[in-house]
Amino acid sequence: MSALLRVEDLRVHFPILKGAIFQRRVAVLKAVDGVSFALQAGETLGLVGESGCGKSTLGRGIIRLYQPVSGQITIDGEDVVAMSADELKHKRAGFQMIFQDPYASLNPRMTVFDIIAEPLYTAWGRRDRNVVKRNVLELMDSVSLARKFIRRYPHEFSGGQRQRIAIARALALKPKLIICDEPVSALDVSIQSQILNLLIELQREFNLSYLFISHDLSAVKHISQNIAVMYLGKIVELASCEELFRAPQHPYTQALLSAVPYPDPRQERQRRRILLRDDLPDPTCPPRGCRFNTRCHKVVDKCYRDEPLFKDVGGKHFSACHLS
Amino acid sequence: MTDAAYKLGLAGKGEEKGTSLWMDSYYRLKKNKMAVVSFFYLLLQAAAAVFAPLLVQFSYEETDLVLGAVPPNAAHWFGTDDLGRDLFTRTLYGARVSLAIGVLAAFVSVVIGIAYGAISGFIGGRTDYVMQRLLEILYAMPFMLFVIILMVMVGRNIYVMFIALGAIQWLSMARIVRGQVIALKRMEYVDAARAIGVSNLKIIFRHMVPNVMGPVIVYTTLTVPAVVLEEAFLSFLGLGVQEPMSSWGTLINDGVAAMEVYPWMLIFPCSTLMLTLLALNFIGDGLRDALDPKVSRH
Repeated sequence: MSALLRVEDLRVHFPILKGAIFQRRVAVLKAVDGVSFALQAGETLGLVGESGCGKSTLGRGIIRLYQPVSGQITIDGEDVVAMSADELKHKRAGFQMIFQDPYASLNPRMTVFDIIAEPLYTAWGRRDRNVVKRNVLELMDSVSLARKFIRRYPHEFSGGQRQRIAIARALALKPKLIICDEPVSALDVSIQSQILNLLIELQREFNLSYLFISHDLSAVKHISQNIAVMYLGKIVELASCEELFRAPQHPYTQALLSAVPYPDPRQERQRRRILLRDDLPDPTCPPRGCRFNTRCHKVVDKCYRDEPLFKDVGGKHFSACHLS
Repeated sequence: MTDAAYKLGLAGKGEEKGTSLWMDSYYRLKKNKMAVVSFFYLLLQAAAAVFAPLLVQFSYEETDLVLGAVPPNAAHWFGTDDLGRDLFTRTLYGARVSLAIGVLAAFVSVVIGIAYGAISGFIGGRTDYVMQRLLEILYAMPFMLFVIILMVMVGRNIYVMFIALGAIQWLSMARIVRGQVIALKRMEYVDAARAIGVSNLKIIFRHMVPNVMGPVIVYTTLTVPAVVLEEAFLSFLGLGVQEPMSSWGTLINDGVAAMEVYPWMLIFPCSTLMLTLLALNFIGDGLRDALDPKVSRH
């Protein structure tokens, strides 16, 4: 089976410029620095990592909201990086995005109809309003949003309902891939599971593939088949969901997992947290050798010299650590 | 309405109409008594100015030296000036010039300001830098002096004054629009529109312009009184409209000369100007509160 989304050695860099008219590059922020993975049709890849590790940039780079400096992105057999702006406009239907903050991702001056119809009008051009409206109503049905709300405005909805509107907009063009950029982290905990379950239902119904970006491990565990852990612009571990939670290989993953509380208080009392030292290093000059060496609790000499390879440690479980 | 038709979504039956942000603002504005009163006052003032020739039986330019200056009475509500012209008539005709110049100059400033600010903010980077430095240079110039020199050179042409006054008002508007556009550019709904493949032009007109209109409207209503005052100032200096045409500035100028003997020549034009400026400012404040409820009231 060939993958729906294949990313190879993707790099998204941002130059940091100084000066106004004669701009010079003082540094390069390597937000995404050589990332490779594949996502099968109908599956979900969870992407976790702390704030600033480049996970959102990766998501936006894949659908070319940011221009990658190098690497390859293939979606449904088509090279996304090589597409011209014009070509891209037509192909955008195939990959959509759900944003983190449903209070910021909906234009406050547009009605629900205008918001969900915008992708339809953009893709089809001028169309009979009734045809568009029928589509909008069907989309509202599929995200369980009452039809009577079609003429309402975003500020008249709760966060969860707003996110449903955003999901309906993303679904409008029948994409195969949806980048979910922390779609539940701005919502109340009670609403989070509703939205997560909605996403899972929609995935089954429309055979969608998700790249699910989150810093919430339990949300990712709930929805993903595979999980990638990102640190400072690179994927450090990639494995199936059960495998990653059962036997995390990379010390960073181990530290992340140790922070997840158990629902059972007896287990919870025995939980040993691995505390990470310091903050994320400056991404404009990542440490030599292993990028994690400044904070790793298992660090050895070799980690300061050589950058570890991202290698299979058995059973499609990849890890970038000298010790695994 | 059949059930099937409703299911097709053609009927729109039972749909709850939402309250747009514009409607919300309108309701808030309606609650602001001062703004509503000011609005009707201005409406009356504007209507009176437009229909002035139909409303008054005196001519604004015909002198009656025999009559001379008389204090307010039943025939001449505001009295007459020293040349025997009815002051009420002249004040109404003055409103035509003053209000027209206020509205037109504000319009010129809005057009230039939005275009300049939107381009600068949207393109950003080097273009933005150059455009903003240019703006700062223009800011540093004594513009009133410019207008005065221009009026002296071109002569007292009312249309030149329209353009000149509008051209000095757009600077702040451009800055306001630029700031708003830069803030909006980072909004996720703009990213969402990009992800859908919406063109830049449509992003600007559908997603940005409606969202910058609030501050633009507020600033425009506050620009109008500023321009009216500037026109009065220029006319007061004798650089505005030409006799026998009147504007509030020229009337006040005449009034000042005759202040001690014929005080009504100063009092009535001055009060009219003051009331209009107050009304415009009340409306501006009301709109600001109504359009941006986040700005705390008092």
